[in-house]
Amino acid sequence: MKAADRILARRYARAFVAACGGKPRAGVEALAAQRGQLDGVMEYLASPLIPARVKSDILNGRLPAGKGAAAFSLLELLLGVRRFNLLDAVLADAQALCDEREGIVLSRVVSAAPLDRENTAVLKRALERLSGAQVRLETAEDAALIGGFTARVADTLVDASARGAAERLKKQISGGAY
Amino acid sequence: MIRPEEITEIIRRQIEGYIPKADIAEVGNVLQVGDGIARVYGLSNAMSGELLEFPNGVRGLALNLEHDNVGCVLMGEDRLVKEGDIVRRTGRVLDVPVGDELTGRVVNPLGLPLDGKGPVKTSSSRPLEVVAPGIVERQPVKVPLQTGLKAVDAIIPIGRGQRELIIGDRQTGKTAIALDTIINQKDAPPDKRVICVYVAIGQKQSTVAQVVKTLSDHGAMEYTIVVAACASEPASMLYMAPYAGTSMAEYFMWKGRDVLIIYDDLTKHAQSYRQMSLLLRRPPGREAYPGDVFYLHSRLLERACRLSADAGGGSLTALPIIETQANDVSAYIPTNVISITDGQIYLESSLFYSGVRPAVNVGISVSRVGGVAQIKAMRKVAGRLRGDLAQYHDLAAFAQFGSDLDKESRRQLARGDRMTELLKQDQYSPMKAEEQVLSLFAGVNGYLDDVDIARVRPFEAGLLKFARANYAGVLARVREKKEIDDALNTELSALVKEFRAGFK
Repeated sequence: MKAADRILARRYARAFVAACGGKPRAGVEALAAQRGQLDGVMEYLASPLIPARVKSDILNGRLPAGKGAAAFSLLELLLGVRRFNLLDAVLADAQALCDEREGIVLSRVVSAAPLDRENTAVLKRALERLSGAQVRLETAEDAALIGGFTARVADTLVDASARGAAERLKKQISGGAY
Repeated sequence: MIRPEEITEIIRRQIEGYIPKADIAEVGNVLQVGDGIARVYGLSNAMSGELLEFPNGVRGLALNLEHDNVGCVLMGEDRLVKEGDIVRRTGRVLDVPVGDELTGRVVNPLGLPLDGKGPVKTSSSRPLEVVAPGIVERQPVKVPLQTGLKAVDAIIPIGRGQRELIIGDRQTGKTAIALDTIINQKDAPPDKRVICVYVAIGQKQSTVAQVVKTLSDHGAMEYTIVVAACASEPASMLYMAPYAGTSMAEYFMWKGRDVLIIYDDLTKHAQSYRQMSLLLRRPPGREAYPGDVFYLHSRLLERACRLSADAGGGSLTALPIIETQANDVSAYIPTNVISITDGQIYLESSLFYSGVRPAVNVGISVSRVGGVAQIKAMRKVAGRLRGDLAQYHDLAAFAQFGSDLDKESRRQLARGDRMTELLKQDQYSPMKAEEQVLSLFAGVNGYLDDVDIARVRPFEAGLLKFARANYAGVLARVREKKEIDDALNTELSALVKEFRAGFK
């Protein structure tokens, strides 16, 4: 995504959260639910080759109960201004804004092997201590890490993976920087 | 020499002793990259000027700290960086390796060797940008830095710690003056010799190779460092080059040594900064340069100074070079650098093509340090030279109308013609101070007035040869006493008269 689109998505997200009034979380959850119902037609709705009228029909056909809500208005707006491709970024930013208001930070944890419930809880507590905020974990697996995990909280990256350790050792042996 | 088995053993010990632990770093993500510039999302605590680590060993410099992204210039190939890549903070500003090991080497602005002579094994480093020494740490500029060029040492003397601009169109001999000055330092004893740093900014690699060859051929590379950021390199490297060269030079200055640094040239440096600034979307000003282009050069040239005795007494003399277009010194960058420096040596293509080489326009060239930065002997012989030459140029312009001139005017014209001829000098042939004094002594005292103009230079060459062979003691006394008292004046007169009598 282009830098300009990312900035634009954040502006739409900020406006949407403001439009949800006192219940931004409910609005964002409604938007996420509606986005879920659009799986399979996203490509059509974002395509500049499909006429606007056809896209509007698809949207109304998929979300008959959504009309009138702030989330549906946002979808119609993005369709009208031909920026439907920003929807996922707007949704992510709106969720981040809600989290920020509620003192929650999102942490993406990637591990080499699946994390069990106990390990996840330990990790969550450690990340909460590190960030000083309530953490919402998103987990994923990547065998390329060989062992261990990486966790990203805001601008901080914790690299406790075997791959990272090997890279650091390589750097240390080769004399590092230049 | 380390044997391969020893290397294996060292690596084995490092692996065994390695304790893996989690690495915590502040990171961001590349939003967009291109034209040597990257925009990074995150890094909310990054400092201005901080070194950033990109993947594939590429490094960047954080320059624009904006509301939701950081604009940085890449010091490497931007094709190795892609959107979404993770960028790490290093928490430190850019530094360059410094040390005695750099002398005789050709390096890039990061201190990496370009001369194929293997790695530069330095033990210390200095930040790229440092605040210039304050007033308390300085002392006035009063020790001369001999360039070996009569036209400069006699009329526009340069002191150690001074900033003297060399300005002129292309192909007027700007670099030649700088190289002559470097070559002229060769005869000093190694522990007192001026260390030279030549910073090539945006030049062709072939030109830099030629400069290195010239210096090597004259035995000047052993006390010279060449920092080269050539035309094919990213703008960030050109931007860093003069600061890197200055940091390398300051290492010697703070050790009490006298250092000479040449920036060849600051016009291209300003252009590289303009390129970076426009790509970073900073607002353009006059000639599309950013608003802080004056500060770009003032903070660089302010680092030139002569340190007080308490601070070691070292000095850093800067000879920045500016290339003008069609002799236009009123363009933006030339006026900026003219106002920053302590004097200018103006070179003119019309003089160059009429055979006056070095093509110094002595009428408008100045040194604001003046006679303080001259040995007394030179001050005595060259004291009236500037005024006389100015009068000569006025009179020569008037005489073009063909009117009859009185005897005194004709004498002034004849003297001026001969002094102009006497100030000519071959390239890469710097002269010792005492020989310059002898030449000028002969000229200003009228011993050349009845010598044919075409015979002035043979006269000078013959006089110097004669003095070296028969009056080496007189030359040695000028060198040691550095002034001409009555006795020496009489001896010099006798020397010149004796040679003149036998000159055919």
